[in-house]
Amino acid sequence: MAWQYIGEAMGVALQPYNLLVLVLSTGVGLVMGILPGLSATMAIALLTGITFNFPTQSALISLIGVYVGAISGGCQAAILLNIPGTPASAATALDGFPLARRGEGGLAIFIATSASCLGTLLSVIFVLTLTPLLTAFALKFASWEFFLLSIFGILICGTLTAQGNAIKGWISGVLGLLVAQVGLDSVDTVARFTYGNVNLMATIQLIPVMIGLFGFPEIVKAFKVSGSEEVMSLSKFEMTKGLCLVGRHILAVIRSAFIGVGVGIIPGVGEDVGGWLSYWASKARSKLPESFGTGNPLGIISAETGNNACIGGAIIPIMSLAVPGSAPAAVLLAAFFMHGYRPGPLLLTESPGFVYSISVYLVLASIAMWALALLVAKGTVRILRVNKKILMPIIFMLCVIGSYLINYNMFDVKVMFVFGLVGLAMTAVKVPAAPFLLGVILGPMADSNLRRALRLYDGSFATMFQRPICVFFLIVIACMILSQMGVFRRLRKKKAPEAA
Amino acid sequence: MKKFVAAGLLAMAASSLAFGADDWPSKNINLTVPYGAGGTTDLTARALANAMGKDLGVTINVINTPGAGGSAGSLNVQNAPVDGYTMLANGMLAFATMPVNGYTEKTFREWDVWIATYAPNCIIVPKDSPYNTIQDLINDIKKRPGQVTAGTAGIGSGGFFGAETVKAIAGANYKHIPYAGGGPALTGLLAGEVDFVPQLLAEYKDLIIAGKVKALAVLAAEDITLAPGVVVPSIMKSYPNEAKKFVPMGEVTAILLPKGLSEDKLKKIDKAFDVATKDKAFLDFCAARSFEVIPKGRAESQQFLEGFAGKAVYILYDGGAVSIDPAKFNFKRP
Amino acid sequence: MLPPRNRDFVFSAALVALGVYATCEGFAVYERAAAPPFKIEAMSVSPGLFPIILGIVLVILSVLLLIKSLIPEEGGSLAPGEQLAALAAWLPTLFRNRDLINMGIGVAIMGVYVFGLVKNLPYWAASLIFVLGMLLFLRAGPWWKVIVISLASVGGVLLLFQVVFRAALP
Repeated sequence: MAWQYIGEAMGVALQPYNLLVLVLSTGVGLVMGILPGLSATMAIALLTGITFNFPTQSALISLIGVYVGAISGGCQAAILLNIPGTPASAATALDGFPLARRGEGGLAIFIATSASCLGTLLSVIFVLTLTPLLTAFALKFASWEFFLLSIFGILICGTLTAQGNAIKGWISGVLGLLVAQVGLDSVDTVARFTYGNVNLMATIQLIPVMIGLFGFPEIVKAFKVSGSEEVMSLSKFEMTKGLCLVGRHILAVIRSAFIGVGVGIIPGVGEDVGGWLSYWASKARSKLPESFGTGNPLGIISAETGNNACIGGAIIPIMSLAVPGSAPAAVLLAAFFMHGYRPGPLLLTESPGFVYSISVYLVLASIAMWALALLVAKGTVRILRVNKKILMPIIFMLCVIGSYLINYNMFDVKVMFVFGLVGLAMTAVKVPAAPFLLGVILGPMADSNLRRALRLYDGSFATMFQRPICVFFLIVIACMILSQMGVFRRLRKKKAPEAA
Repeated sequence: MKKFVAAGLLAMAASSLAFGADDWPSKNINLTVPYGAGGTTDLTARALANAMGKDLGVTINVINTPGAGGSAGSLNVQNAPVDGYTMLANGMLAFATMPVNGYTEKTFREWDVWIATYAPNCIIVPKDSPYNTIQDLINDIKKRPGQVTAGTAGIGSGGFFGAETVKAIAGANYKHIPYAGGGPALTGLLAGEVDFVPQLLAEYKDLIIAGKVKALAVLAAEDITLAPGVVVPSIMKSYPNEAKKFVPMGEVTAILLPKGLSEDKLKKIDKAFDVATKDKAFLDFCAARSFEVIPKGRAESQQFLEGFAGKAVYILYDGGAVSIDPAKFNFKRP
Repeated sequence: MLPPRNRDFVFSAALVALGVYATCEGFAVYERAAAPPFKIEAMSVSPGLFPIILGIVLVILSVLLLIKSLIPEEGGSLAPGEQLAALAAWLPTLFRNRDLINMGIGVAIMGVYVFGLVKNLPYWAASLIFVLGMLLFLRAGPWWKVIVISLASVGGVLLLFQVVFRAALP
C-alpha cells in the first residue's frame, strides 16, 4: 500500500516541470539561506504567495524545496564569513569558520552540506515510521517542561561557546533573555521596557539582532588599517576526505538526527535549538572536547545534521495535530491548508497519500540541495578570495535590506545597528554572541511558560518536581552548573589520592 | 570591466522601470496579520489575499506580526502611511475592543472595513474529561468558582470572549490561562493542562470529528453538523435564556484600511473584495474550515460593527476584564 | 588595547549596574501591573517576575565575573584602585590607535547610512553613496573600480529584490 503511494509521488515529482520547480525553489532557498538576514520563514512565506496558483503538487514541491534549501544554505555564510545565514546555522560557524581560516573552507562546506542532506533524509524515516509515537511524546510537554527546556538550551549554548569561562556565556544568555522581555508582554499585554515607543511595544525582532550581533564584528574587522589584506586561500572540496569524515562519524550523525527530530517535534522550538543541542551532545561525548570550536569537523557534522533533522521533526506535528513544530513549519502549514489539505488526525483518512508525497519531496529536495549547494559553493568559496574591504560594505547593504524586509519597518534596521554596537562590545570582552541570540529566541517561551505554570498551580513550584521530564531537565541543569564550577573535578581529585 | 558597467547600468534601468507605473496598485501590497501563521485569521487572510490579488493584478503578501493579542500588528498598520499598500486583516472581536483595552484612542469608525467571514466559538474538553455536556461544565464552574481552567489565545482573542460568555451564563468565574495562540491552547488541552478550551470551531474541527476531543457546545444559534453523525449542539439548547444575549458569538474576520484613501482606489478594493468572496477556491476553503462567508461592503460593515462591537466591549467591561468605560468611545449597549 | 583583566572588570561592573537597573524596572512593571486596569497583584503571575529574576541572576553572575577579574592569577590582576588608574591611563591611547580610529569612522559611516541617508533619499541613491563612500574610505582599489563595483552591486541588489522577489525596498 505504502509503496503504491510512494510510487505515485515519485511519478509526480519526476515530471520535467516539477523537477524544474524543485531545482529552482531549492536554489532560491539556498540563496536566501546564505544571505544573512533572509531566513527560512521569510523564504517560505514569499514563495507561498508566488506559487499559490501553481498546480498543487508543484506548489508543495516548491515549498519543501525552499524549506530544505534555506535551512541548509545558512552553513555557507557561517563557514565563510562567520555570519550565520539563518539562526539555525549559528552552531556551524563555531567550527566552520576556523576550518575556513585554515584554508579548508571547501572541505567544511562539503561536510556541512552532506551532513545536512543526511539529516533531512534520516528525519524523513522518522516521519514515515514514528509519527504517532513521537506525537504522543510531544504532547507530554506542558508549561513547566517548555520553561525548563528553554533554560536548558541557553545554559548549554553558554557552556559550549564560552571556551571555559561559562559565566560569560550565561551572562550573554541572560542578556538575550532580558532583551526578549522588551515589549508588550504576551500574556497580559503589560508594557515592559518600552518607554512609550510604539515600535518597541511590538518587541525586538530576532533577525536584526542576529545580523547586528554576528555581522558587525566581522564587517568592522575589515576596517582595520593594520594588515588585514589577508585573503583566505581558495580550497577544494576534497570529496573523498569529506566522505570519509562523515562516514567515520556516522554514529554522531544518527544521534544528531534523533535529537534534531525530537527538538523539531516540540512545538515552538525549531531548527536553531536543534543545531545547538546536537552540537552539545557530540561535544559532551567526545574524548577531545577542547578541540570543538577550533575546527573539529564533528562539530559541523553534528550541528548541520541536527538542524536539518528538525525539518522532518517539525512536519510531524503538522501531520498529526495541525500544530507546527517550528516557525517555518507554521508557514508551511498555512500553505497546506490553502491548497485544500486537512493536516491533523483526519489526514490519513482524507488524503492518505499526502504523508508519502511530502516524504518523497523531502528526499528529492535533500538530494537536489546537496548537488546545488556544492555547485553554488564553487562560486561562494570565491568570496574568500575577495578583498574583505570590498565585500563588507556590500554585505552591510544586504544586512540593511534583510532587516528592513521583515516588517517593512526602518526601525528594525536601527535595531540592527544598535545590536551591532552591542556585538562589537561583546567581541571586545570575549563574550560569545550565540547564547545572546538563543536568549532572544527562547525568551518569550521561557517567560510565558513560567508564568503560565505558576498561574495554573497557584504560584507553587511543587509540580515542577513531580513531572518526569522536568526532573530530567533539572538534574541535567544542576549537573551542568556544578561541573562548570569544578565540583566534579574536585571530587575526582579527592578520590585519586585516596585510591593511591 | 565593460561588462560590469553595462550590467550595472542595465540593472539600474530595470529597477527604475519598476517605479514608473502610475495607477494603483503598482507594487505588491502588504497584508498584516497580527497573529502567527496557521491560525484562523491568518488562513482567512491568505485565502482572501490570493483571490483579491488576482483581481487587482498584484501579489498581496501576508506578513505575520504577532504580539499583544493582535494589537501590535494592528497598530503598525494604523501608524503606517495610508497609501493602500499596507492593509490589515484582523478579527473584529480583538480589533473593535482595542480602545477599551487602552491600546489606542481610535475606534473602528476611523477605518474602512470589509467583513468576510464568521467562525463560531466551540467549547471543547479533553476526550477523557469528566464533563460530557455543557451543563456538567457550567455546574462545575458554579460549584468551584475560579478553579476550572480555560485555555485561550489571550485576552481579546475569540476564545477569551467564548470563555467570558460561559462565565456570564454560569454566573461564576473560571481561571484564565492564556496561551500564545489557538494552536498552543489546543496543545495545552491535549496535554491535559487545562479543563476546557472555548476557541473557534474552525481550529479543531478535525479533532472533534476524529474523536480526539469532546465538543460540548457551539456558540451559534443552531446545532452544527461537522460530518455525518458528528453534531455539535448549540448552547441555546441548554441555556436558551441566558445565552440569548450573546449568541451568535464567534470571531468575525475582516480586511481593514485606515480611512483616508481616495475614493477611486477604495472602489478598486470594493470590487476586488466582491470578486474574492465569490471566488470558488475561497468558498471551498471556507466550507472546509466551517467558516460562514458573510461578505459586507464598507457601509454595511460599519453598521454591523456598531452592534457587534457594542456587544463585545460590554462583555469585557461587565465581566471586569477592562476598566475603561466603553461609553467614553460612544459604544452603545446592545 | 586594555589587557583582558581590565576589560572584564569594566564590563562586569557595567553589567552589575545593568542588572540592578533591570531588577528595578522589573519592580516598576510589577507596580504598573498591580494598578488598574490590569490588577495583577500576585508577584508569581506578574509580568514583572521574569525581569526581576533575570536582573538578580545578572547581578549575581556579573559579580562573580567581577571577582574573577580581581583574583590573582597568571595574566596579572589589579586591585580596583589600580584597575581604575589603568583605565584612565588607557583612554588617551584610544585616540592614537589607528585601527580603532578607522573602525570608528567606518561605523560612523554605516550609522549615517542607516539613520540619515536611507530616510531622506530614495533607496538606490542612499545605497550608492554609502557603498561609494565606504569603498573610497577603505581605499579598496583604484577609483574607477570602486565606481563600477558600487554601480554593479547596488544594481544587482535592486534587481534581485525588486524584480525577482518583488519585495518593496525602503
